[in-house]
Amino acid sequence: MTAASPARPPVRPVAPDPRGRRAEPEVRRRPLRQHGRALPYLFIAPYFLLFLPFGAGAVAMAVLLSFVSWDIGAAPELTGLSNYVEVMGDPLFQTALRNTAWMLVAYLAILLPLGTAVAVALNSRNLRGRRSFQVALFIPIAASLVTVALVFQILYDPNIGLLNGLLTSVGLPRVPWLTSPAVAPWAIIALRVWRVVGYYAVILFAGIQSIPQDLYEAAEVDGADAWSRLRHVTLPLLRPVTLFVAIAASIGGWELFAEPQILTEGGPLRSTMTAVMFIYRTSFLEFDLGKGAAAAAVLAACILATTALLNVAFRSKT
Amino acid sequence: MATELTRRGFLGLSAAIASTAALAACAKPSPAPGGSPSATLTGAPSPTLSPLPSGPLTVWNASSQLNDAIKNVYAPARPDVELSLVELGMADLQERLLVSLATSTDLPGVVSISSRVADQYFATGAFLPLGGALEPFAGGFAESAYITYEGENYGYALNDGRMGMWVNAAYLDENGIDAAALVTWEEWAEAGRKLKADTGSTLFLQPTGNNAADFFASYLNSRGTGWWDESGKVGVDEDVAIETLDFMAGLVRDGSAYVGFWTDQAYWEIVRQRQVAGVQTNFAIGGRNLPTNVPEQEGQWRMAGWPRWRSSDAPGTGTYGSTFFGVLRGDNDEAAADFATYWLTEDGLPEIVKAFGTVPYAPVAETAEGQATLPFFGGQKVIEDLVSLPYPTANYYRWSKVQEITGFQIDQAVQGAISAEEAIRTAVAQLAELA
Repeated sequence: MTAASPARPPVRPVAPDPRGRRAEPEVRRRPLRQHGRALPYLFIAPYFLLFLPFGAGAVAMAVLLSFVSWDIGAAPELTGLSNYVEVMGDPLFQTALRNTAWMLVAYLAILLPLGTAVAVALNSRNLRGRRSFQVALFIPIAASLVTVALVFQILYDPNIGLLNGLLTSVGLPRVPWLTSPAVAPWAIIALRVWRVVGYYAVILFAGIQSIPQDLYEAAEVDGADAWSRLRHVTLPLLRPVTLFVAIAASIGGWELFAEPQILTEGGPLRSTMTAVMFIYRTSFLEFDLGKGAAAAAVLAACILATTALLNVAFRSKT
Repeated sequence: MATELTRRGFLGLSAAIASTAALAACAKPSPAPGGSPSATLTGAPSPTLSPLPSGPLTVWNASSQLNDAIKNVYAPARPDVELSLVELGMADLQERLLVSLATSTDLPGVVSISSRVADQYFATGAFLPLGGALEPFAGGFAESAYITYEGENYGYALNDGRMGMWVNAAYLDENGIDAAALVTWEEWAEAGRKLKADTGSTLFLQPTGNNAADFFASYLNSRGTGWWDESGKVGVDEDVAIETLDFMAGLVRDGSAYVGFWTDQAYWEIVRQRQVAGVQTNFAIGGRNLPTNVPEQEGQWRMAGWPRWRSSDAPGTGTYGSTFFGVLRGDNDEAAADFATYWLTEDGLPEIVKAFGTVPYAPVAETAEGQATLPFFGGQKVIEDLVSLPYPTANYYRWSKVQEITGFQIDQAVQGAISAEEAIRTAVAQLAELA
């Protein structure tokens, strides 16, 4: 442990100013380390003081809950792994997890190429009104999710919806957007992609702009056409940003809830039932907090595994 | 003298603070005041004679229609009650109530709850049976309108969940169908097929998912059966259930039922466009929301009672469930019970009728609203006609799970993926595991 330095800062002798002006005495700034090593921690302390009880504490509480049986109004009872056994054996949870997983894969498979394409288009020299496009792309993410879902509910309506109106106007049959188990998940994926593609495209666009121009010029000198420059310069150098987007989007994908809850309530025939919907129903509608917490822990493990998988997949190509 | 803080030290300190906060939050709550769990509010004097209650009272209300009456009628009538009204949506209210019950903190004195999920709340022991507080009103109630749990009355249905067959009689008439002459479901189904063939419009609704479950349950209890009996055991008459589901699937096969996920925007639009000429629903939707949302069809609609399965059957109907005021044990049980029953008093009843249209309480028919002839329904005394149908018995138990199980089976049967018999047998087997 070290004692604090003397309080007075060192003052350098005043050097004569070559232009004849009176120079101010130079006060040497005290190095940060002399304020003590605690200073950085003090700066981040407010965040941690809130995060530990309300962030980490909540997670710890949820994990703890997953090992107890808690009938509301009674004291919690430790039940070991029985909640996990029950939740993993629950056909509804299996369905929900399976739905969420495949919808996530489809969502990422559409979102990443589309987001990159939009970002590349935004970066095009020929694009006029770039800022307007950026704002337009950002609007869906800024809009209330509930409002967006309600609007899509009308768009997707089999009888009065705009989409079927357009289809029938050109002689095509109506599509049961939300009432067919084969179509409804795709309708929800489409809504989700529409909502976030602009947001992620702007992040990818910022990544593209950080790629040094020299590399493109060198590639051009070597005779690379636009496609080659995209393939051999843009995409490889954009990989760290793409990884971030993939991870952020996959977390959002695993946590899919509001859209199917509003549009389909998990139907038709459980085709849009997701893991978070299961957790919500189990915890708040069936009052089974222990089982809900166990399902949440399983979901958290899936999110961590996906993040690790994406890290490996993206880094192995770097 | 400054003390150097290491990274490990910082994390340790933060963890200590967090642990302290967590322990404080998890500390054993003090027992709910208001007496032992078996305590019942008994012998509450008649509201018209009893001294007015006083003291603080917090009410969580999800029945938005009643908020104005609580503020403008109840509050002035009970000047010594320090009322705190919290207006919430039903989903928010349920989540908040669950958390409050789990932690025994911030519990209100009165809360509005759906009758379908009431058993789950009553099982916590935090609610107070109203017992004697309801006695002064007992004569006017259908027994089945009480919200009961293990033989105790915890409240009464605020809004009337009774189902009606609401039809655009003028449109049917234009197409050669006399709605007033139709009595049985088979006659209605035949009319539906004719309407579909002649106009493309449908006469019936077939919602999906949770609504399918609620819808089917109301059809079942119109036939005197239901998934559960009073003791919380599976008590459905399977043959009746199979016949009912087969009939509903038949309407879909015929094309005379509109299959869709319930949304207000879509449903009122298809009614407006006359794609749907019949709505099978409760009074709140048929009697209130329909005139509000499709005012241009004033005079065209009628409430045609509820179809019978056989012409020899007595008139009857099902219920779609209701909301009620539950009273939680607390510091001011007298004021809470008075609030819950205030709506049945001479002053309160007209307000609740204004808010919900009708309640399953006999004197409602004597109120001005109960006697009203409604222009939207061609001058029909809809409330009087609806409350003339006996209030059906409905038992709910773990309803969220029931919705999930039965809704899935019903949807499959209606879509033709499985037979009605397979759907009912599977649902019964799965429900038996819950009991």
